[in-house]
Amino acid sequence: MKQNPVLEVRNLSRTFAQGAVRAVDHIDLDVQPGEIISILGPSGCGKTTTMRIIAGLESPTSGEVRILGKDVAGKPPHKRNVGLVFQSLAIFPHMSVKQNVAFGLRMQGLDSKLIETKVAKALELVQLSPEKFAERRPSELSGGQLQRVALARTLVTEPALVLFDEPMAALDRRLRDYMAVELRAIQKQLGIAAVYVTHDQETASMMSDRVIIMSAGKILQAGTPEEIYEAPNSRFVSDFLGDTNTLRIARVLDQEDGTSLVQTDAGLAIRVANCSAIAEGAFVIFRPEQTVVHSADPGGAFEGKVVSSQFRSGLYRWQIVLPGGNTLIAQSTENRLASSAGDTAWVTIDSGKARIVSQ
Amino acid sequence: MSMPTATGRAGIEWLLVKGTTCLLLTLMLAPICMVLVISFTSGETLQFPPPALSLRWYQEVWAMLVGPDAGIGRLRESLLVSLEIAVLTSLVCVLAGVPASYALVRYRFAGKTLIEELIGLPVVFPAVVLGIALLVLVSVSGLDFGIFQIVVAHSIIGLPFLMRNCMAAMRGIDPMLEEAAMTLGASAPKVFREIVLPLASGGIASGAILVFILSFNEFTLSYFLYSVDVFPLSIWLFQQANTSFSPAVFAVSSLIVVVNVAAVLVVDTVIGSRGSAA
Ligand SMILES: Nc1ncnc2c1ncn2[C@@H]1O[C@H](COP(=O)(O)OP(=O)(O)OP(=O)(O)O)[C@@H](O)[C@H]1O
Ligand SMILES: [Mg+2]
Repeated sequence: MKQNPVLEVRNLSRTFAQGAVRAVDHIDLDVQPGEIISILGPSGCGKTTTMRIIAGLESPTSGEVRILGKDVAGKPPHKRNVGLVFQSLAIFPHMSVKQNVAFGLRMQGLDSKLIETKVAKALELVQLSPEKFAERRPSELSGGQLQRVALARTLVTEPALVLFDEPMAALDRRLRDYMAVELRAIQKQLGIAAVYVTHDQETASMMSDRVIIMSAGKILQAGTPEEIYEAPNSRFVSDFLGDTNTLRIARVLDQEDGTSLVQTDAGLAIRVANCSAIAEGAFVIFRPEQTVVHSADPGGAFEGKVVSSQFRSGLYRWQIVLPGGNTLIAQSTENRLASSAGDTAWVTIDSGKARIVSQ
Repeated sequence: MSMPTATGRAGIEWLLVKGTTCLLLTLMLAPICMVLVISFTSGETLQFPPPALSLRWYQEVWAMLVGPDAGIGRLRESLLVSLEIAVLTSLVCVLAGVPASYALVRYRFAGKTLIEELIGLPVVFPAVVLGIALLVLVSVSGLDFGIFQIVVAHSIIGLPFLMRNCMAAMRGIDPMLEEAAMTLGASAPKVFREIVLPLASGGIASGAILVFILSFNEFTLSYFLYSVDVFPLSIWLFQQANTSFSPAVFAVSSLIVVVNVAAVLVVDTVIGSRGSAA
């Protein structure tokens, strides 16, 4: 028997300012039991608005939200069984850590004995020792600890679906990565379904089973983190996930067995595997790590001049300007060019990895 | 102040500042200080300065309040009725003003700006006119509302004071705290009780104390609406001043000043402690 998806969003839209702002524009998404999906997109693309509509804090202009198979239109937030961890955390300042975590249980009308044990368990789950932290005031906690309280407060009520609206945006990179791994472990351990909103693609990849890329209220692409990284369907998606080399295609020189030889408008010829129809004005895209640089002409490579080079976290990077004016970014784990700015270098592209996108 | 070349100018500024401060303080405090001093006189009349200091008039007032002849001067009765009016007025203002403040802070509706203007302005309608209007209303109705006609009158002038304090406190509450409570299963009334009320309690308490003082001191409206049975302290003082004018009146006045100062101190500590806890 197939279980109902925990969340189904159908054709959901929300406009503001008499329709002038389309914050959410006809989006569809599903979350299966035990699954965590990330919504990834730049600031203002409608992530928070989507979360608020699902939680019932905002009403949609049109479209449908189903939770565990039931349409929740008109249902107030406190009856939806959807937890929301806010971008700002929204810890109650007039309550201790324990009172914050107990709040949802108290609203459910549980007896105080049971609340006590559940709160202690929840605090342990997020690695805040109850003896040390239960009686503390929110003003006596660090950012990371507040974050854990917010998690515990939502998880303890065992909602059918948990929404995370960038709760870690305020933390530094290392703590954020650490919390992301931990949150992922907790989510798997409890088997909860969750939606995680972020504009940080690394967090999204670490956290989620599937990623949804949003821009200007629309979903551009959905899939596993690997799928989207390897096969972005547009320049926007590719750029958003990491540095991308983009070259405009001027014409198709040759095409056979699914492999095309295209010429860019700067006059370069590039061979691209696995592509069939190529629309007018399409682009060829490839990532810095899908190139190889050479200090001597290996044959069949593009010749260019090194503009600059960097070394960062074990990776070498070069900006190389080609004769037509295009700049390519190349990357390698080894220092393949002992050259300085102004020297000539040659670049080859892994034709199996380069992709053609129409926009 | 420390600039050497500007000593002449600084001297004049210093004189102006000090002079104005002294003048203002004298104007504001001198009459009240005089009342306080005279209330400690040992004489029978309102001499200033008093011939000698004593507590005899306070003993007299004490006797009027709790002594065996307490009923006679009606001081005790007036004090109790004034306290009762002040407490009821604060209560009415809190019950009406807290939900109204919340609505004004959180929701949009027709007429909202007008109400906000009314609350924001310092008392716009003259108390005398309001007193006459209420008096006419009461006599047209032909009913006796007892204490409540004064409570209602005081509530009308007290409500803006309560709401101003209350709204300031509520504006400081992050709406997301309320939304977080909702997603944790709290219905609207529970959100109000668990989040809004505790976080606005400092503003509500200071507003209520302000209304209490306002009502306790109020004269104009009370003058239109008092009766033999409901005879507030301010009216009692006025009447005594017109008839007997004994130093005992000054002793009572001094006690009122003390009540006022105490209330202001309470407001200060309430706001102060809330401020540092938040
Ligand atoms: N109440 C509102 N009234 C008018 N416009 C709004 C309102 N709420 C959101 N918007 C607009 O809707 C768009 C989407 O906003 P939203 O908060 O959902 O973005 P977001 O993806 O969460 O951004 P961020 O990453 O910065 O948090 C924005 O253009 C925003 O200005
Ligand atoms: Mg947001």
